[in-house]
Amino acid sequence: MTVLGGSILRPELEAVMAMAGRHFVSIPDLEVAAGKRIAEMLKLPDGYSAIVTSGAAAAIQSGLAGILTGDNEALIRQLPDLTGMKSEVIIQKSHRNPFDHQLRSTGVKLVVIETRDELRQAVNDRTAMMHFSNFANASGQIKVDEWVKLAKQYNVPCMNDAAADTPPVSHLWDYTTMGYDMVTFSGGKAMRGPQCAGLLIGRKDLVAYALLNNSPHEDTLGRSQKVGKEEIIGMVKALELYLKEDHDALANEWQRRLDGIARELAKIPGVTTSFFTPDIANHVPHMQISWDSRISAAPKDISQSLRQGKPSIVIGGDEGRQGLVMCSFMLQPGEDKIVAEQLSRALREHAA
Amino acid sequence: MRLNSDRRGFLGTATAMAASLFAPVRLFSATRAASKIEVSGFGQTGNPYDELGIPT
Repeated sequence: MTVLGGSILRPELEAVMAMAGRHFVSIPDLEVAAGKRIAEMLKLPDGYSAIVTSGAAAAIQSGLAGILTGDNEALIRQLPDLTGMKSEVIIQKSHRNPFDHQLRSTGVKLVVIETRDELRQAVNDRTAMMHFSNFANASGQIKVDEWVKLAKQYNVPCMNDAAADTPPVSHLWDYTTMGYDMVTFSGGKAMRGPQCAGLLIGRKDLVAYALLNNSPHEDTLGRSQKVGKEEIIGMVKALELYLKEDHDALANEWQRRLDGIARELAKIPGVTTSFFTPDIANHVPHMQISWDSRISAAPKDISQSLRQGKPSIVIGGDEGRQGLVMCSFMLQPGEDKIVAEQLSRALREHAA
Repeated sequence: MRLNSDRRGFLGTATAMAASLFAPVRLFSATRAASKIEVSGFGQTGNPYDELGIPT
């Protein structure tokens, strides 16, 4: 969770990032080499590569900027003035979200559609890209696999913003295999890479153009999205470590932690727990914690009590669900016991 | 702090999460310990740039 600092780095990753900090290196050369290594690790299709960005949001902006400018230096300097460039990006209405600001920052106009017919009518000579927000797959009329097929049919590049959508690990290559021209991921979430790192995976030409629009290149839209050598090296290492994980065992461990917390909470009269796993976006076990009138506190009161405790614990609600909702995949070993204790304390303080 | 407006995964479905923040002394001691850790795979030579074929 970015606002809380992303994830906790593995010690081995910290060690490799420290190594990276001991040398000077050409950042453009490093980006190309890192991208090649990432493509090998992910077994990307021929013609695909990657760069490390300062996060998925930066990957969105740089990726689109690359589509708009190609390798034309004058156009790169000109952004977000789109004179002489394509100027529209098509997106489904339910896929609009705060991160399409990164699309709009290039100067493009978002063309919002809902149906296949509206999409067909929206495509024109000004269309630069078709954008897909992966977390919204279920809510849009056109699903992730059809979106890319239609983009190919209309000969329009398409991007899938999959920032929070690993696990499952296969999502790292599923969408390029599906044919997406570019896919973005956050580095500092489940992959536990550096917080200010992300991945832009895509066609080699488009990825190269994206890099030209990004730091360290000057007079570019993305110059403010600097990625350090430590983050680039760190992202490669984080990916290596993530791919080596036993992902089934991890999922079992995340559920085991929630089970332990649930057992503690079950001792409090009036408190119940249930489990669910979102289909997409943070596809990890979640636990809903509810209580009846025997606990005289609103969820926000319990949440506030936990936030003010020591250690401070952040648990919020979930739209459409009563009580509190939590997942455990960012907890460090042993922290689940602390969460169980503190939750029990907070709830018992309001017990009848 | 706008905890539910942070990220696609945490805003589209308004998913919530839990995180505990340990005392700084514990984090710093963990960092010091990490500097002594043996690295396997990428970084095992001590110069990850060399391993990527990049001159330093």
